[in-house]
Amino acid sequence: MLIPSIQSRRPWLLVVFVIVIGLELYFNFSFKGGLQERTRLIDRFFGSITLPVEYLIAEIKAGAANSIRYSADLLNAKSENLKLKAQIQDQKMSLHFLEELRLENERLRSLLGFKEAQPLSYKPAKIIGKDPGIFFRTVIIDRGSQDGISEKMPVVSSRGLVGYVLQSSFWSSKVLLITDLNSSVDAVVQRSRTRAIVGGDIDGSLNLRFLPRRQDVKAGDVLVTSGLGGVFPPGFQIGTISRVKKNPNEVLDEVDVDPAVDFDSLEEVLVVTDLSKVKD
Amino acid sequence: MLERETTWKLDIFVGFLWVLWVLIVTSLQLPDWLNLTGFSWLLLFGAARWSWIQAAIFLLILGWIFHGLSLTPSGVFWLSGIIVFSILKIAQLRIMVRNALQFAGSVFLTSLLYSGIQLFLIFKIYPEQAWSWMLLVFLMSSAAAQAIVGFFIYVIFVKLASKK
Repeated sequence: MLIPSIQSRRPWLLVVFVIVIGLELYFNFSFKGGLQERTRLIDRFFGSITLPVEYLIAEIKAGAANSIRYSADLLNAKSENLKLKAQIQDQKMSLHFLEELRLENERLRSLLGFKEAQPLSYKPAKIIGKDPGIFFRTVIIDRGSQDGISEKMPVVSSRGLVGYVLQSSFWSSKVLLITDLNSSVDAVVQRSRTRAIVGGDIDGSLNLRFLPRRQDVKAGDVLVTSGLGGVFPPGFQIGTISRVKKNPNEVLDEVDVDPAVDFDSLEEVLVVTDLSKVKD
Repeated sequence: MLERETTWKLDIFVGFLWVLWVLIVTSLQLPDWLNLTGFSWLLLFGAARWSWIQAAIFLLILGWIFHGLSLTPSGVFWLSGIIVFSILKIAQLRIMVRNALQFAGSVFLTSLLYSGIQLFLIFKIYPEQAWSWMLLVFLMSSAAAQAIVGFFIYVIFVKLASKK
């Protein structure tokens, strides 16, 4: 018998256990609010234990991989160096061209009286883990509260929107991806400026939620963040509409979206650490 | 008493190994169609050793730990786990695993059943979600992968046991 005292000597323990199980099931199956509201003290406690351990495992894994890669890299260093030098020359030319465009943009903005958009502050982070569950999509990054990362900070990549920080521990944080079924992003169609909500699905795909009929959307339209809702900064690409299914008997249209970011090959992300500049 | 303590230790050790395995699988960042949490191995181990109340306590604690890494609600983890555990517990009265192939088959069916129940519960929590055939691919491929790994675990375990 594994736990003899529970059944024989301490029946009150059994009662406590039944209450715990009851509360556990109640909290899991009866919520109506968002994901943040659902997170309970006990979930946060176990999260704060497992996330640092995950960080340590990722560090060990990275250390082992680096030592193998190091010797191989030494052999390729010379040819790569020459290639990079040529690349720098090319990029210097592009930079000069971009600087010209920036100055022109600045002049035109001042002519039109536009308020200068503040640049966002980013913190680069590496993805060290992925949700082990089959139906949920989160990733673990190697930046935590010691790096100034806190909950609800938006996470982007060079290709577009990734998600936001759901939970932050000392060394690492959990990021909710936009493809998760708990996620919803306020978006705007770049061409027609139609507003829509982009949500994740249980199979990891993206779609438009609550889009009324007769809205100006078509396949190939690019969706960007609207900046409304207060979580994501405006202008980040979310994805491209891949299919619009108009059903005359339904109130809402069915729209599928191809994410801009390839979540399977995502390795590095940028955490937007100062969204207040945009809000101001 | 000594025997009881040894039992405790082995169960906790296996639980600890499983948590370590999940942490490693999490860091491997496997694709969506390849879920290797290995929970079915643990359920098969538990069905052979634990009573209902022991299983309920273990699954509750493991569900909380798992929720630290995954968004899978701990109640969904517990409920689906205890249902599959009960089925296995009853099934083992008539069926016995005798070789690696049978073990792999059991892992496949256990994994499929566990994920199926979990999917049903998630559809209850998120009624706005639509069914996708892609889910079936995820469930089948993950169950098959766990069965293959389970096959090798069984072979290694039997070889180690026969050496002793």
